[in-house]
Amino acid sequence: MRKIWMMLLLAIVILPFSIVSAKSAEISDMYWVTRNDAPVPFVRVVLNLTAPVEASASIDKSGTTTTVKLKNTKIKTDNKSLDMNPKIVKSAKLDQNGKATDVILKTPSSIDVGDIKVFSLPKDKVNNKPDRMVIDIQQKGVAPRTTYYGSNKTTPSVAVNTNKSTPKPSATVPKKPVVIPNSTTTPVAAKVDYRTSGGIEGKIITIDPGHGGTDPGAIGPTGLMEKNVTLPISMKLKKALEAKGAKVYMTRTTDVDVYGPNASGPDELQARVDVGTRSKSDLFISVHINSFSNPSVGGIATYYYEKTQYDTRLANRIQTTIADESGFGGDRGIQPGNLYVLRRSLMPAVLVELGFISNPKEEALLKKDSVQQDFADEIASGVENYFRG
Amino acid sequence: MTKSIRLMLVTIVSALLLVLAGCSADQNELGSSAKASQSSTKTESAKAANASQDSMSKMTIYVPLDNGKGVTPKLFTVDSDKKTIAYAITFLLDEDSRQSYPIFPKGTKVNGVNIKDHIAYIDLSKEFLDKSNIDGLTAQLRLASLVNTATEFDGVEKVQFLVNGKSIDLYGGYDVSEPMKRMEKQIVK
Repeated sequence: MRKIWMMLLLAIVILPFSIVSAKSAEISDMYWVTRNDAPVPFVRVVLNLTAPVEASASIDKSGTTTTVKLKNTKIKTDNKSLDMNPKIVKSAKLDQNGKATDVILKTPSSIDVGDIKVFSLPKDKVNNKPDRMVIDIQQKGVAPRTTYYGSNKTTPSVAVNTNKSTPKPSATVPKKPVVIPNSTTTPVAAKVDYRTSGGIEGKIITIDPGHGGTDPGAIGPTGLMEKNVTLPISMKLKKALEAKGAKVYMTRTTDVDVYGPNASGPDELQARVDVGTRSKSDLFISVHINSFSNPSVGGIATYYYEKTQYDTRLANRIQTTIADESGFGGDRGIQPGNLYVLRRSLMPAVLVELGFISNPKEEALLKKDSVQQDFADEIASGVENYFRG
Repeated sequence: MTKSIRLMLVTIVSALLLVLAGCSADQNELGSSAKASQSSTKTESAKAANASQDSMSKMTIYVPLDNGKGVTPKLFTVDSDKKTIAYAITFLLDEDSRQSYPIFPKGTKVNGVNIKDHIAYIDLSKEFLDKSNIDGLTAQLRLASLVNTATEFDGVEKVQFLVNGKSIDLYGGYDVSEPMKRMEKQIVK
């Protein structure tokens, strides 16, 4: 019965579809991320494509090798093999199998159909994303959690389909839906009672290392990526603030997207704002490196959005301590900016632009551990001053 | 026992949906952009008609400086019937392209401008979203020059950006989901 039904459906769809499948697609990149924003953690593998493709998946008898076949697809990336999360999916490998490409995924435990989900995402012209095929595989042997990063206690766990063109789950896709927080429409809280005085000891601070994962940020003349400078400075800043008695939360501690690979801009930035809200932070610091068309432009600036009476004070205290870092193009001052993370965070916030990655001299300095440490110590002392009132 | 999944159907259907969605999205895009430029012609020519007693008018544009210091006003005298926001921005993009280090992506054009309830809806071509360098100071000066140039016109208080007829939410970290006010602090004279 079922076979006949499937054949019928195939017959209906095959005619218009053959127009699309006539031209073959290429895989231009493959990347992955571990997602913890669901009852069961999962690994997401994303394949960038030059056109939409057909896919089918099978799991071998042992259950530890899953093959996703992309029809009429050629490999056009050097990124053919990924070592991933040893607890969820160990590796992914691309293998040209005639006209098709096989994505071979190895899992540490035996998985079944309920653990895997394959879907396509369309080309996103606004965010400059290509056609994509997404493979989600969830961790085996862990009980679903009721609270997790991204969960909302006031609403029951339901599958939120963030992309309208993602196919509706049918009998062939997992029974356990993967929950993706739709953070732009479900704010986690409306208000945070932040503190602004009484010393730094015991204060809660969220640090947001700018960009990460699929978003490199600005890229310098020698290829230095902004995301790879903001992270070490932020990790050093975490240590410096903790040494002064503050409690620190990070929006990311590795080279990952906070919301997910190739998320829309607002989703990605809201996920960062949400870290500050959930941790009830007293302040939020976003760490960035500036860039500009003219490579001789340099210097240091602090951005703020005057949503509370404290944002400007915080910006002033931090800019004073970082502005004169030796070798940089000098003090560009504090600047008002309608930046998403500043405007949407529910506590005083700043975004520091620590030099210009587009300036060869500043790019070279930003690679130095000692310069990164200086910036971290200077920001920490600015924060300490701020909490003195 | 073989554990075999057939996701083919789902993906075929989804691919079909994508194709269909793609077609209709394109149509919408074209439709609304055409609509935007039509209404802009209407709104802006009405405005020009009001000012037609004088054959020449003064127009200020804010050019982003390639030394990164901000945006600077430049005053021009133009035929009154040419004094529109679309013309001012075209002028501004042209001035920028002649600098040693242009701030706007090459090829950025104005598709149309529509004014409604004191908000100028500026529709730009896709080059405006050229991803190579929408960040930091570059994004800041692009927005400041456009917003300040448009709000220089009588009755325009805020600016909302569109690209090929679709509104944009985010530009280089800037929240542009709501109409933007004048960016006075970026003006250097």
